[in-house]
Amino acid sequence: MVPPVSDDLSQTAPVQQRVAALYSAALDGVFRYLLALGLDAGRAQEVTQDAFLRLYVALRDGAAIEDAKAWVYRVARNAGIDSLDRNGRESQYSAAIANTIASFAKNPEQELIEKEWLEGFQDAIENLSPQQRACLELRAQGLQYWQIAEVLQVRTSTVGEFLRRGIKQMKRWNECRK
Amino acid sequence: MPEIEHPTEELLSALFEEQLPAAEVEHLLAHLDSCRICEQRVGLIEPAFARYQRCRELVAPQLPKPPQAWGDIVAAMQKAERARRTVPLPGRKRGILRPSWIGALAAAILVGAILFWPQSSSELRAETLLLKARSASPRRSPNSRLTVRTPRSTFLRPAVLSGTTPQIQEMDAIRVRFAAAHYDWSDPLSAGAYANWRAKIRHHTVEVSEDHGQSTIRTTGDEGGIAEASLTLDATNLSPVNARFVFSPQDWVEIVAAPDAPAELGPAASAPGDSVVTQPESTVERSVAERELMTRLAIDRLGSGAGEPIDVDVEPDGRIVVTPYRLGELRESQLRASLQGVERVTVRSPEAAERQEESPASLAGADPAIDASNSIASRAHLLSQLAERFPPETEAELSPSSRKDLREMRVRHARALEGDIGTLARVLAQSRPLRLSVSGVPDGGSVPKALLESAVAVNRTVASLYAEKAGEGSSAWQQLGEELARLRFLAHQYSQEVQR
Repeated sequence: MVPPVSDDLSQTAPVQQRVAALYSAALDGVFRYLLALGLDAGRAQEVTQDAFLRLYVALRDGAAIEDAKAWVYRVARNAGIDSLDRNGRESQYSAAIANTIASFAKNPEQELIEKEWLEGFQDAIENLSPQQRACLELRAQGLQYWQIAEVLQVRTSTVGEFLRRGIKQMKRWNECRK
Repeated sequence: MPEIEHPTEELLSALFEEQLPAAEVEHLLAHLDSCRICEQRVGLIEPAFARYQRCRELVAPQLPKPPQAWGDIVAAMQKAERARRTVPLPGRKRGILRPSWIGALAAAILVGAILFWPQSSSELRAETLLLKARSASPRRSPNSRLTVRTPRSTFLRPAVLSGTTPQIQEMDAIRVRFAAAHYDWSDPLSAGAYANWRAKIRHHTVEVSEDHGQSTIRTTGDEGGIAEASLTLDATNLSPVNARFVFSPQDWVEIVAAPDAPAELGPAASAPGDSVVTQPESTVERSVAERELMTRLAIDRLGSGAGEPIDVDVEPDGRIVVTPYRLGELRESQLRASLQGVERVTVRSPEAAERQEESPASLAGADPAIDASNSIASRAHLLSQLAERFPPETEAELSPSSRKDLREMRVRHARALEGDIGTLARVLAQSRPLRLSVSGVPDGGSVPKALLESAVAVNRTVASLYAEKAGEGSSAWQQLGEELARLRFLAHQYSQEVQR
């Protein structure tokens, strides 16, 4: 069935402005989150752009969206997971960390402490569950706890539990290194 | 205004240290979402967040960048909106446009919206490319020709057939198959024919890839006879370069743009391309490298490329000998069938003494770590063989479609290799914490060779650890961590290289 269409183009202008504002503010974050999920850059870009266009269509058609940012992340996450290979892929972070460590080796003047941090981070991130990694990444991007719960479609207390376990895991690996 | 009750220091510490009741966690997180003071207190109590943030910043320059400029969202929204407005509403009068006009107009405007949003999906990218290619395609000269290759023969034909083109038996058989698949055989190497065929396939998947200044659209369908059709366009002028149609693994047709017919042999204006030139197989025999690649691809398609011991030897006279050491009867017959389209290839049955019989114990996989490690070694071996057999100078002599096939095989196994390494790391981590740190960056040289050496070293260490049941404190674990980290680095480096 064809959805109802408003007769005046200007009626959709506020929705477009709202989506455009969010697009410029959250574009990089969504893209980076998809990289952390394991999508390659090309697919991450496609999924990111699609998510914002879908937001526009949903808002235009009158969908009740409590928080547009969390909604976009959620749609992007679901589409991203669908497009991952059946076996899943490693987060793009893993490769980026390896490359960063390699670049340290070429620049010995880099601070040792940063290299050590990064090695700990590399160990830790390898062993985080996808949910733990998602919670840490989204929190680092500034999403509130309830927004993370919206994205992952879980309760806020579950987000707290994912974070607690993720932090514990990171500490454990840091201690192993000492 | 009611005074805010902030949680105690102990409670905030406990939030990420202990397992508190869910209701309490909900309450605390809700408070943190609304209280910047307490959020800052958490940052001081629990440094893990700040550390994670710092590490993110450090690795940010190494993260992949978007391959294209970001699309203009406002333009995309407006175009999509206009396209939607052209669709008539049920039960409402929307002017006096005739239905046939409305459909065409809506489609045209939707295509316009797609052009403003070229990266929204592979389907849209394919549609966009085909649309641009159709409008950019120049009129063909009457002397334009195509080379048509099948597993059995190769011949030349006019690019566009006319009613007066004489029919030959070989071409007629292909024409019938294309007609059954609803593909326009009169002008097969054209964006229009390809797009029209796609439009008739209800259920299909599509991939668009860019490589060496060419864009390839690969469509797979489950109806109409053509299982897969690829069209490669020159990225500069969007003219079709070649097309490949797969009816079944042994039954395919490849069409490549050929040099124009000499003017003196060219047709008169009334009969373009009347000279269909057939070439017997022997005069256009594929190179040894081409046939070897076809052989390896056929083996790879069986799923045996990286897991089963199958030797591929090229004899001095150009004959290719394939020796499967451990295939069951059924798979060996599948292998023979899949190699039927390759000239001068022989499948040799190994002597009884050479044959490695399948045994339940060898196939069951005694341990997931050993399985993953074996798989890594096999893939690294395959990639090293591909590098050795198809160095750049050999690769350059392959046909465009063979180069594409070779690249896809490399990419497929490189990705699978990275996945296997991740699996091995996870499996090992279940036994005991394993520190993966790169102790030294491998210097230049052949990456596939270094990859194979590294994979063999990991495989050896894993086998020895599991055979000796090495203790918790064994230095072999540390060594394994370093070897695995190096292998992961090399695999990633290789994967980046082949996908470039």
